[in-house]
Amino acid sequence: MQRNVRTIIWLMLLLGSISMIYFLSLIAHLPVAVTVLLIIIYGLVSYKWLRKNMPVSEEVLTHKGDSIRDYALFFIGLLFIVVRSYFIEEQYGNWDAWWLWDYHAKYLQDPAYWRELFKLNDAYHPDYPLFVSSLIAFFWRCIGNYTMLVPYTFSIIVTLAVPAVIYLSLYNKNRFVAAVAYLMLAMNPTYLLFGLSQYADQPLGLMFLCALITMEQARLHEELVIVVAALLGCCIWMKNEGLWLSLVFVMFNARLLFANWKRFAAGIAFPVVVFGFLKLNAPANDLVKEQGADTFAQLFDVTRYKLVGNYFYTRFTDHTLVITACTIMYVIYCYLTRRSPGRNIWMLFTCTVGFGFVYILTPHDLSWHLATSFDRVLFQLVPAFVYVLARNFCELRLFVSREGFQ
Amino acid sequence: MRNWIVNIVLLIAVLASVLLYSYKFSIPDWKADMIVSLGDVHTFFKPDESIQLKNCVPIPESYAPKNSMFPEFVHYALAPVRVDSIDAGKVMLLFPLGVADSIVAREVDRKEVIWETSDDAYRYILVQKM
Repeated sequence: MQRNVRTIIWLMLLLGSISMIYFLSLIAHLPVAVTVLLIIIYGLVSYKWLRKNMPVSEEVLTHKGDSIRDYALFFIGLLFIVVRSYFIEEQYGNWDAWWLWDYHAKYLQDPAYWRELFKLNDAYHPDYPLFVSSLIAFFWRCIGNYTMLVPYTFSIIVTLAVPAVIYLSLYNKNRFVAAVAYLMLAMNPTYLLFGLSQYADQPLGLMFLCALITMEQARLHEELVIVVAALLGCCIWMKNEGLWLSLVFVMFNARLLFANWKRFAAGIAFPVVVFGFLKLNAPANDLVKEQGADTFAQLFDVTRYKLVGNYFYTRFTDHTLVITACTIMYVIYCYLTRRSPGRNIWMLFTCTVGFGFVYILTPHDLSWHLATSFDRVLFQLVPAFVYVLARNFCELRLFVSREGFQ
Repeated sequence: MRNWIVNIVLLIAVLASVLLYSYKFSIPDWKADMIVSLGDVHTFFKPDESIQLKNCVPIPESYAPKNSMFPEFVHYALAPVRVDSIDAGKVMLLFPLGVADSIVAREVDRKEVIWETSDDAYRYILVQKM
């Protein structure tokens, strides 16, 4: 693993811990100074632990000198995101950003009235996990006002980090494939739109991607299971969809994770406790509590499948045509060569199908539900899809040598 | 790639983005993309109140009227996000009626209330900014 990737994983864990520690400090009525102290201690300890237990891989250590092209490409990708973001960013982000995440943060930044959040009516979704809101609330409370720089800074960090993590993880394996994956994501207008929307979807995508990358390392260094578990815990604390992604992740990596169940439990315990407290206090999720007698009938309603299928088709071809084409090419290649597409492809496929069934069973108007959420839900999985496909293409070495275009 | 170079490049990218964001939105809000739904906001106020709103939070037009499930969606969108700059130093606060009085009191705390009214869904409070 690259040192930089390790740093980004540590940063994401740190942001997750800030969010959770701050939320627990509200419950425990801790002064904000104590919260800051706890966060600093966590940050230092976790950084030291990662440096010791998340080693730089052999590939990196034995890697020959980097070409100036590697740096130039990396710089160009980031520059493109920075410049493009200036033209497309909105001050308050998109709808859910200021209406849900920032709105919840306004409650959480107040140590006296924060529990009023759970009394909001369903339209405000008081049951939503609070990673983003609690993180923003912490900084707002420290700064003393509702500056929009806080949610924006978090969103731009995530938007820059996703393609960076993919490139830095792969360029030692195959520079050409890594460069294509990096630029494909960095220059995807829909990716930038969702990244800068200040929603929780893109951070969830990054957290899930970090869990995938760390899992590869955990197969060699089993003590890293604790980091995988913590990242999955952060996914759960990020969005309700994170619970589904984490369940599927655990299902597909059950052997290793359960063989190290003590480490897994240690890593996921803190997020689960925080998430559990939220769920005990918050009202039930609207998708769950509004299920009724119609639910079973919906499962056999062909028109719903057609509508969802149509959405899958149009969105995959509109926003992620290249990624979709690469996936199909890869699956065909696997079929022709009689090899399995690999655990991760099946895992992501299962996640996608699961999202499809959420729409099939939704108690809301299906067209409305698809129109308002499908795109961003899709982009939760895009970083992982890009990484897994690029990783697999690196190993195929079909088109270019290991040295790429050097 | 060298660790420190990558870290510095990433840090510069984040800082540059934040600076550009600050610059872009340092222009008074109502000159930017803020007045998306001024018409919608005006419909909440009785015409005879003659309050001039120069600035409000953006409400995508596409959400409000077409959403048959939540016809009042546009109302939710406003509260209690601040709607400010009515006149120099005055701030309009909107709260859904369901929001606890304690929250309202906190938001209005130490501000001079100039005008207050409510309808079926909202409480509107115009205050002097302190």
